[in-house]
Amino acid sequence: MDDIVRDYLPILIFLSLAIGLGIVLILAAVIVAVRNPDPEKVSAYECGFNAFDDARMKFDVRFYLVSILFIIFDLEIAMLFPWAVSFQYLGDTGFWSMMVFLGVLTIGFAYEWKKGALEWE
Amino acid sequence: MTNADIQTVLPEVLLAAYAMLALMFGVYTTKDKVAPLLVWVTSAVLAVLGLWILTGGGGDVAAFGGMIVNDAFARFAKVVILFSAAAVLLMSEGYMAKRGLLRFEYPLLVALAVVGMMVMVSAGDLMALYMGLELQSLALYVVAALRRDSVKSTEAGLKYFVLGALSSGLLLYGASLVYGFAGTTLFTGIIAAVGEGQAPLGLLFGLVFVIAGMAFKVSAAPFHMWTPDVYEGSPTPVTAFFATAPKMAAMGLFARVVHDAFGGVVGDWQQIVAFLAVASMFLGGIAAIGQRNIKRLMAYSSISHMGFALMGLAAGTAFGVQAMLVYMAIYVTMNIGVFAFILAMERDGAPVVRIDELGGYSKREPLRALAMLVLLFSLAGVPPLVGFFGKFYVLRAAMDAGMTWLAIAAVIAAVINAFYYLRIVFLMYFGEDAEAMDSGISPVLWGFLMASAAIMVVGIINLFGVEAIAATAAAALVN
Amino acid sequence: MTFAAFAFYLFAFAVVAGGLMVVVARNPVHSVLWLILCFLSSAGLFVLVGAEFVAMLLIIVYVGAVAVLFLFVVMMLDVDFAELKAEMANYMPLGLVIGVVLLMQLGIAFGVWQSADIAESQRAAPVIAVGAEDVGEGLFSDSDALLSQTHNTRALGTLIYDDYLLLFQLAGLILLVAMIGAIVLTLRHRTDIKRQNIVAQMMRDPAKAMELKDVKPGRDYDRTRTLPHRRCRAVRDRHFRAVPEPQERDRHPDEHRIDAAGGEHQFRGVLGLPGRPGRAGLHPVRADRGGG
Repeated sequence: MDDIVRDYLPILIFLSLAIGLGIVLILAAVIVAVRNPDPEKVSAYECGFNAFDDARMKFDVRFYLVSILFIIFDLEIAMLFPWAVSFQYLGDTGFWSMMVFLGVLTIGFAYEWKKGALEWE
Repeated sequence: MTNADIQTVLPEVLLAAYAMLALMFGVYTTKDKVAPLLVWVTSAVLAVLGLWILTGGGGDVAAFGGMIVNDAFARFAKVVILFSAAAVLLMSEGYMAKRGLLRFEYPLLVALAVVGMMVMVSAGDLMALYMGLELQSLALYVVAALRRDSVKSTEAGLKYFVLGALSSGLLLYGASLVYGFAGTTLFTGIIAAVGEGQAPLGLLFGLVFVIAGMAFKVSAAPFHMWTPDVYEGSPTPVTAFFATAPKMAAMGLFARVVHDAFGGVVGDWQQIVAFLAVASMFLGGIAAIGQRNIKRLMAYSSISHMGFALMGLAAGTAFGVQAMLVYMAIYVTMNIGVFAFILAMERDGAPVVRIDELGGYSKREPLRALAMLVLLFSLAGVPPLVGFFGKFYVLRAAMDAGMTWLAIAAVIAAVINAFYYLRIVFLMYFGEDAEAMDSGISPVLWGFLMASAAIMVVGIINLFGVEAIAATAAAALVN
Repeated sequence: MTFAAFAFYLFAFAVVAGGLMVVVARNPVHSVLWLILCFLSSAGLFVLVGAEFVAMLLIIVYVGAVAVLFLFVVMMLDVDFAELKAEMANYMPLGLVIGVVLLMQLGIAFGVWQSADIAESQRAAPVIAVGAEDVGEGLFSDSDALLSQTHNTRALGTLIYDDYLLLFQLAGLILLVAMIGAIVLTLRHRTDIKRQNIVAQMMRDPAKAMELKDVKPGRDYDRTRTLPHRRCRAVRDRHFRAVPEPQERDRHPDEHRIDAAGGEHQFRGVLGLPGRPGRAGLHPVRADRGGG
């Protein structure tokens, strides 16, 4: 376990630095900044319209379709990492199994392309 | 090594390759206009593969390091799955086309679901099992919600998905506990690690979670609650599909896990399976009495039938597995006939699902009413029809295993179940005349209805030799 | 306490606290942000046990894609979360009971946990998989040494694509089904709009895009008559060109904006720039509308 922590120490230090800095900045704003609120200042708009209605609204399902397709290909890419890393140990089977996998997903890709799922109308 | 392995899963590979080719063909040609063609071709492919497996034979082959086991048991289940899926696909064409639901993806999703089921019944590894299960389930969620403009169909798909995901989670959790105990996911390794006698407590938790997850998939009480809504909401041909092939696959999977992986600790899972069986038989039977919608009624009927099939499994013997297989084969055949009848229930082209509407049906359509009567009697287990032999087999299995109480409970449940089947018969023959339904029926539906009814009568001679095949299959599974 | 132990407790605390906050946070967007913290800290835990690939997967797939999808859903779905929460309060007692029972069962399972005697020997898959070739090349003294020195991602790679080939291909099929399913269930083709046909656009021959017709002077064309003959030839001929229909010509600029429903925002009407007059001879040739 300690080996691994040593390997990742830079990231850990970086992470703690980032978190620390973030907290310091937020705290600084809380402590140092002059705050003098009045009702007009904290109301939604000092000028212009009030909000007409809730910011949430029904959204075109197309957005989800795009993000779901993105996740699917994201997973496909994730499968490529170990393959690339261990490529030198893999025989023909390993090579061709990835080719078949990519082929299956390419069929899926061709399907969705031809079907028009990638078009934004 | 790999060539031999691929030889073993050749039917699955061919089916998957066919599905992908057909997908490309469909999308690059006229899209939904080729859908009827694809339905016919897909069901031909399924039937041909079924015939091939049926006649091919072959021994007990393990492939991919034991992850896939191709034995007589797997072949029996695969043949039932392939033939029933082919039959249901053929039946669905007319109904789907008439309602604008026949998209060319439908037969291909069914084909891919069948690939998943074939993997399920021949899985020799917890991971292969899970992958097969997910492939099947994911395709089924989609076809359940195929009528996407209908709130009910969408609800069916969503409910099925959420509860299916929950059950997959239970199954995975149990599988990880089992893996933690045994150090491997291979069934051969698990059975070696578990040993004989009683399972250690930690493993028992894993076993129970796995069984709970599978009980969801076979819709056994108390994990049945998705079934009525999904059956009701899905388009009727999809309901017919749910009631046949996936049930066989899930039961096959159930049997495989409890015998292949936990065959050494029969006593530990026997009580759970017996409980599931009793709960399903009674709950399905009692809840079905109140149903007026024939699709919901068939859902509860399927729950209680799963109870009977699980009773065979609960016996924990090779004969029990044989009884379960015979029961499932008969059940699937009956269901195909019944759903052919339901699919033909139309008035002015709109589907009719209320059973009250069947009043006086026998006067207008004596032949179809008679066929339905035979099927319903068979479902109820009235001797001497084939359905009776299915029930008789599982009862004998329970008796042989010394579970007399279970057999007695099953007989009582069978009587309760007979009530609502007989009520439909009563309505058809003696009920108040309802408005006439459309008299037309497509030749395909007529053929399946009559063939299924005929099998219920003719089959009493020797059950078409299913017993012997099931016995070989069971012997391959239970050593 | 070693540094590794410190890191473990830090991440473990973050996971538990984050998980708790996911459930209790009032604002669903905050819930998702806490969930991201959860994912990140679990990734940290995975790194600590040496499962680096899983850790990276968690960040790429879960934080990068799934959490974004969740954010999409909670930010844009028209769901009244306050109402949902109120409903949740009704089921809370039952949920708590089930949770406690599950926890107790887990406690029991953990308390009596034991592995089978042969579990250790059955677990050894990666050693065999990586072993042979490297030992042969003399890189490592034996396969155990290789296993201890090879990293997690590579060990996984040697297993997934070879020993677990079948599962890998099934995973591909599952992704394919997911793709088909997503498209079958959600994709709708709108028929009320004109689509851009890129191939047709590229194959279009500029020479044939407009056709000049010689019109005999003296006919009844009011505007042309008032203009001098040579200069306004283009304008005059406009009436006779076979002008390709501009795509989406009747599309209102606000039509596809999601906030156009009420039509409150009328800035275009107030500030709207007059359409650029453009040179008459060029105008109709452009296939797409305005804005260039």
